Amino acid sequence: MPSFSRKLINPILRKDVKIQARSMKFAWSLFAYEMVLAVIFALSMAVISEVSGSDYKSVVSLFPIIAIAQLGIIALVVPIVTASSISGERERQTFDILLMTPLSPFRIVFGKVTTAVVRVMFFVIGSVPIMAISFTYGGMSWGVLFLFILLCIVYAFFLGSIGIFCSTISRKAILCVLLAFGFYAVLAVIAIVPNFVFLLASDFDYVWEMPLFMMTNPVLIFLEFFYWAMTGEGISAEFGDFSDRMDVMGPVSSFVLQKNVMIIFNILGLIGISILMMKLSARRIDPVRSSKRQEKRFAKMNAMNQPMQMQMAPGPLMQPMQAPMMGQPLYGGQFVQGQMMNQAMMGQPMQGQMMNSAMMGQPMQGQMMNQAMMGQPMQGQMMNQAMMGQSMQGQMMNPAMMNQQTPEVPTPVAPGDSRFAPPMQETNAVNENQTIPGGIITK
Amino acid sequence: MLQINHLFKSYNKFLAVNNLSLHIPEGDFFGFVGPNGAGKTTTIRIVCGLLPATSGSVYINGQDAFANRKTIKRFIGYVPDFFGVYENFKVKEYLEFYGSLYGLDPVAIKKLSGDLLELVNLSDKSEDYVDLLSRGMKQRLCVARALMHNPKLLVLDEPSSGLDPRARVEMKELLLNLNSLGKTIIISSHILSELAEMCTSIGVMDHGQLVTAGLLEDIRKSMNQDHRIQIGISRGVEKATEILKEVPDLKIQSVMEHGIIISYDADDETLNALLGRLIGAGVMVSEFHKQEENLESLFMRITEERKGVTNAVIQ
Repeated sequence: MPSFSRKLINPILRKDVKIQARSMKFAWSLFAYEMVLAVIFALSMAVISEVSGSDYKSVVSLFPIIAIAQLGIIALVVPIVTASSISGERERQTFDILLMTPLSPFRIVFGKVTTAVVRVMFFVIGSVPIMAISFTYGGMSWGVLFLFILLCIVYAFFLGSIGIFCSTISRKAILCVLLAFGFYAVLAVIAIVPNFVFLLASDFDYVWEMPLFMMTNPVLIFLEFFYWAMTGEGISAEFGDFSDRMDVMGPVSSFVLQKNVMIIFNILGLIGISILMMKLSARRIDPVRSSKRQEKRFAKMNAMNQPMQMQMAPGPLMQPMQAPMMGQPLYGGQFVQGQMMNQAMMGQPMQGQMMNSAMMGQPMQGQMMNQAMMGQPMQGQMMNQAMMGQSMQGQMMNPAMMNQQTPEVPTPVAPGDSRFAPPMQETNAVNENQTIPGGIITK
Repeated sequence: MLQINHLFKSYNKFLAVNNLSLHIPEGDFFGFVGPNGAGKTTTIRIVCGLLPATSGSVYINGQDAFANRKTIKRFIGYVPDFFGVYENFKVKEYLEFYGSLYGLDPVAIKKLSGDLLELVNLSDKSEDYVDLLSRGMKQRLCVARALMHNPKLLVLDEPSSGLDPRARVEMKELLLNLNSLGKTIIISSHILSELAEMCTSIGVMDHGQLVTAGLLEDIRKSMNQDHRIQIGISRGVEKATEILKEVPDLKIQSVMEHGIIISYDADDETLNALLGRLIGAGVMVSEFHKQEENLESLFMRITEERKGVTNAVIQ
């Protein structure tokens, strides 16, 4: 059983909650929040008794007031906690170590979002006793309270997943927090846009079909919830009856506007967005995925590379290969020192030649070739497989091809040690008279 | 253990690692040395899978590091150059947390963290908060953390930066101990002498390229290639110069007020006879010894030579 709970509970969540529970800052913020709630409670009670006299049933209206305060806290705390979580790990330089563990990027992200949710739930649960007053005195159903807590969790996950996405964008925590708030503002606007478009398109005819398009808006979920909690009716009662409408929208609207359907739709919508955002965040923090992106960018960049002057490197670029070396992969434990080899070259000792897989069996004297040359002669441009993002293993390359590098100076390589491959030294002789495409580059 | 083939890494147009090929056998203590910005950290981060390579391949324990990242992570223990701490976290909990990330059994984690703390000499600090430890202790704790999953390869990026001499010695002893326990260790540093004290082999990096690599002893041997001998002379420099000029195959490198540096490839007997001749001629010799180039000056020479050639070709 303990091992099951260990597997179930994300280790990052366990660590972060432990650290957070020890922080005096957190204890004080919880205390301050309770104090604020107490003041809100006292003021609300004064107003309620002023308006409704001694009718204790009206205490029920205390619930939405306290609940909206909870939502405010969630909207404030979750983005701050999540938006600084990944960037915070980066700032502390602990993120690399996390990435080096077998924990998947998604689990790292999920752990961080859950931490924020748990953190904010301390505040929500802490205020339950005050909210409970409106239930005991006002006679509200306990189910409503538990549904509210469930909605808070979903809402916190939604905000947290957006916060964590922003956290992957920048290394600076403050910038991430600002980005997160900006993101919410944009989302709120986007959620309203379809309604206006629809209203304009329908010439303000179908005003009450707005809720259908507000499904993406998290505010609506709570509007519906509070309406239902206070009146026992779905929000559709306010919007009117669509069942007698003849067009398609009539039955759809009346179905969606049923009290349960809309809340369920909304919850599913928020969960969907949360998962999507967390997946995106996991992608962003995964170095391997970003590698594919970078490789593409690199390949694209080099495809558009500016023309460069090519030079031929004749002479003994390469020593004849030793027969025992043939067929052995470069990573097999032995290293080819001062030599260039190619899979296609197996068994064919070649002097002063360079080739690649495209050249199978065609020895060429003093020339360099690459795949790009096979069909299209390239004018003054350098291209090789390595620059196109492909692996170069087992293929021959000249180090000078990769940048504006100059021919190597003979370097003091330790004698008698064949384990280390020195930088290639075959390019000592450079004949500047010959210039062909696909050779050594000097700028 | 580690095989790097034609590794390239470019940041836009800047080539940080340029055609690096390297093989490090199991049980080796390999030191990566090079000036700041030479590409050591980039190479290490690529090997650890924290940075994508532009091209090339890396094999760790015979497995493709880019294709099997998850498996590779279990082979590597990584100690970054900067030790990040979580506030309000105890030393013991710190190790337990990383143990849990590797999915180890809680009972095993407890035992292992105790053993590792003993290994890095931090047993008495297990209940202390991590952020209150000294830098040297943090670094040793970081090594213990990297060993939680019993990796075969330990990669340390500038582990001694910012440590005081005592902490450096402790760190060195710890690493040598780990190496003797069979761990393959790769360590990067810009301080060559520090690496020379512990590594069995080194690789010098400069401008993204591996300038030289090999067993430390072989590199040392290859250093004094022009067989320089320094002769300290209190009196009679002119006389000594005349005598030395007569010796065949002997080249006078420089003559100073109180000394002469010569290049002379001769056995000890011949050198002894030469010294006797000088003394016999009334030259007051205060010192007579083979001038050994230290690793630092070798390193400087290599990087300078490379710079010189690069400039010449550009011109």
